[in-house]
Amino acid sequence: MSPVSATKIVDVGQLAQVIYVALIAGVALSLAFSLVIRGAVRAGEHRRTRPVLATAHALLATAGLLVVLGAIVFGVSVMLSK
Amino acid sequence: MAAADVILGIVVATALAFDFTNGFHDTANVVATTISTRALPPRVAVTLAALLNFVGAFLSLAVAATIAKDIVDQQLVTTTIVFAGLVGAIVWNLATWYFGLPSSSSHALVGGVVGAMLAAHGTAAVHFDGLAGKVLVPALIAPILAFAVAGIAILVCYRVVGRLAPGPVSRGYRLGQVLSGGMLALAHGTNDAQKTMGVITLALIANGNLAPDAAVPTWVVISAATAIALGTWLGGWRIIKTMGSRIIKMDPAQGFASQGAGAATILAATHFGYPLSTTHVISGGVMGAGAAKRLSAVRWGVAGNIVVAWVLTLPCAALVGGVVYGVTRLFGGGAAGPVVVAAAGIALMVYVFVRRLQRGAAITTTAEGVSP
Repeated sequence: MSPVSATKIVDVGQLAQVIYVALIAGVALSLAFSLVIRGAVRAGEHRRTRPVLATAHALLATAGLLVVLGAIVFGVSVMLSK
Repeated sequence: MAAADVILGIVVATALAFDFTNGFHDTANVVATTISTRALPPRVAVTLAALLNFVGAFLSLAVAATIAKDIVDQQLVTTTIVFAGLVGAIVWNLATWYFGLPSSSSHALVGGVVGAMLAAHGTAAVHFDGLAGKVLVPALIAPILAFAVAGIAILVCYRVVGRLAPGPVSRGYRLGQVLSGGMLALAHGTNDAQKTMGVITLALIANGNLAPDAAVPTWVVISAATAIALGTWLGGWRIIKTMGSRIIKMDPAQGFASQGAGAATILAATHFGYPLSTTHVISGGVMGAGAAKRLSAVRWGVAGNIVVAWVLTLPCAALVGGVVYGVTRLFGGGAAGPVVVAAAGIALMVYVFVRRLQRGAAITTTAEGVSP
């Protein structure tokens, strides 16, 4: 198969977009959810002894949760709009 | 009743049977990791997946009502070709279920229709560049991409939660699996139930029951949603076992990484209009989440068998589709051919199910980690 016909079969630009968006979305989602867990666990651990640090961890968990919820909403909107 | 109406009835019933096997076969994509890490009890997991598949089928009806669009000449598709293609896909779904191998139901349907088209009209009716661009290249990209995404994702997860107590971390990732599994089930219902709706709508248009620009009838939407949900609810336990515990023995973080990365990959691809198989993505994700932790954690023999099944999906479904079309035509252009093939198919399916359940009850219903 010549390079020209291969390019015709595969939309390289579209494929590249899928690859980098999937990489960013998949890793970002995992990072955000892991931060929710980390923030929640650490906030619980420091709740009585170091309330400021506990609050910071709780904020981290909340931020991560918002990213995860945003990803879910975006995912549903993709399903609805296709 | 005219012969065309009989054929239409058989095509509708066969399409719903395919939809059922699609749900039954692809349950594993959604629930295997959830069950394997005990995020949910097996029966609860498949019931939730079935409900979300049902709901997902109603989310969007925008997918074009065409079969194997850009892959075969749409003008030459007849109800008999659709019937033969569906039988090819059902046979391949049942064969891979019998051996507990995850494979793409969509590729099986495309393969069946291509085989029937080749038997009916020869190579001129098949667009091989479309076949390469819409089926073969995505089949290559999907598992590799999901492997990479899940592999990086699990390393990130371990890095972030590495020093925390394992109990709350596992509980957290199990909750995450319920969310990511729910998204996958919704996406599966939206994508796959629409294929059946498209098949039935096309058959109704071809038979003159609907205008060419008609919307998908409500009874078609409800019956397709019900068939895929019922298939999902009954669950292909053999494939669930393969995906959930035979490729890698996974912890909740790996389960979340493979499912979350899989959901992100599928939705990213959907957003850009690039067709990726859910089965290929989730299988690749499971392998990636295992290999990133330790290469030897992946049972590469099982992974190899799965890849062989993927490679064989298109040609085998095409072969069955072509043979079924040929057998159907032996009885002439009337309804006799589809009636005989449908009756033989039902008898074969009942025989295979009974034989499998008799011989494989220990695997299908009571294996470790997949008990319903």
